[in-house]
Amino acid sequence: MNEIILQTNQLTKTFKKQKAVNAVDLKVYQGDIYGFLGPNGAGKTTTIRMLLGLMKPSGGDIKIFNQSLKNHQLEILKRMGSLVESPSYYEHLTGRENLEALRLLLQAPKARIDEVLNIVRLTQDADRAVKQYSLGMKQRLGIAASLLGNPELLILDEPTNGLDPSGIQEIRELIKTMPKKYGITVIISSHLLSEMEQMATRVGIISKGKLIYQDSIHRLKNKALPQVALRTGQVVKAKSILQSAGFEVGGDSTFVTLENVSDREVAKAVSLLVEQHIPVYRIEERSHSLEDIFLDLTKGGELHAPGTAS
Amino acid sequence: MLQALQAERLKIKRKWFWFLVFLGPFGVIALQVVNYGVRYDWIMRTYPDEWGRLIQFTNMFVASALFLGMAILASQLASLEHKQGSWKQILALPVKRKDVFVAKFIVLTFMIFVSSVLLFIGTILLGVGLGFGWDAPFLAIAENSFYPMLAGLPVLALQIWLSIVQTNQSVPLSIGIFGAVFATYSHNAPNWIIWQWPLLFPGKDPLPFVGMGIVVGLVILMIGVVDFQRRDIA
Repeated sequence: MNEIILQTNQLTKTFKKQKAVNAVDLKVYQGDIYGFLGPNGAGKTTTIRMLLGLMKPSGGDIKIFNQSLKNHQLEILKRMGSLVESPSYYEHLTGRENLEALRLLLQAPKARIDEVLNIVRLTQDADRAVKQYSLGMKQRLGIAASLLGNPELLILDEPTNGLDPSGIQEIRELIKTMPKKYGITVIISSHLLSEMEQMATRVGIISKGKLIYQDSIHRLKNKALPQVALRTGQVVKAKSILQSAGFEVGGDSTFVTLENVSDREVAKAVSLLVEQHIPVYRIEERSHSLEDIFLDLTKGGELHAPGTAS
Repeated sequence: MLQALQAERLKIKRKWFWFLVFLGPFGVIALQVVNYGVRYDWIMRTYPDEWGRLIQFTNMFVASALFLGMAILASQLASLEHKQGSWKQILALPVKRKDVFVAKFIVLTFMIFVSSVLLFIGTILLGVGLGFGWDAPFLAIAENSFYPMLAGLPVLALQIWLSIVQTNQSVPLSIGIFGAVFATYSHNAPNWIIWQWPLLFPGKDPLPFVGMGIVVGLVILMIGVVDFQRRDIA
């Protein structure tokens, strides 16, 4: 496994007695595109603001690049780039001047402005006032700004919010190239799992301030594999028969469910039951989209989806 | 700190800041043009000390214009960041919050200083235009132009502080306008009220007010910085 680049320990933020972020342990490895997921108001932005030193945690601590954020804020921020929520800009200035204002604060080399403009393909519009930019261009300008300091870690909070499909596509392609092309680790928040599915290597899911899932996207996708449900008589007996035959069995009082089974295995299971004179009334496939799992996770706070054992 | 100042300089481009800087002293002088235009003969007959009277007349409006200018400019400087949520962007950069805050203070102080220079020049030109000749009491005019600004530093620091920490600018602007109105009537107010320090009461030594202005101004600036450092940026 790669080196840990960012880690929080019991990170908590309380607003007037209400825990907006509650004991969150994030772990981000170098080279990850870490999808930070959760419904609106789950605590994503608050967490991100704490990671950037914009808000002070009420409890717990943050370690980035193996240093405590509290004691080394400036050194750490120097190696990070960020885009928080809606893009920030000075609308009376041109795109280039906007970047220059930030570059001065960052003390980055002047040539860097052209480089980042090129990365987000804004070179042609660089000398127009940002007032006239479309939302997608403003968002790309925001990403350009986040790249100014040559960051090793990029934190993007809902970077595709409010964009049209082609804008979303464009930003997504851009983000995907970051780790490979520039060696940048990316943390990206979103309330859409479908979006993360196509970019993220690892995901953390936050709901009501609590981190309820954190693992590779691959694992999460496994949970979305279809299961086969058998409606039979004598369900209890049916389950034990199948279990002793080596199947992974789940289900409730009316259904027996099988995980991860091929067509042939289904046939085998059915013939086993029939041989034991257990009636099989119905066989159905149940598939869960990732979206279902996500909703399930964030609604109940724990996993009800099939394939818990994966 | 230098970078923060350079960034501020870039950000105030195309924003009419310098027009406002000019408008303040221009307004003060323009009022005197009207004053003298309406009752030139009466003034000249009643007050033999030509320059002295001009300075005193001018002084009546300096404090008000100063407070208005400070409030509006401070609010505009802070609004640059408030408007499109830029605080979260610049404060997530490796810069000290203190530097950002103090840079705004310095920029505003510089703008007010330029206004004061214009007032100094304007007063002399007006006097010459009124036929008082070129042997003006330059020192007294300079005192009248620059002491109010120094004695007003506490108000300047307060306006910057309020404008920066409040997203809604109605509070700092109201305080600024109130101060401007109050200044015209505050001759009898107690001494601890910072809004009357720039009035330079005739017959009183102005230097204590100037000294207190600088000291208290810096104290308020420091309190503002500490407060800003502690805040969560939403």
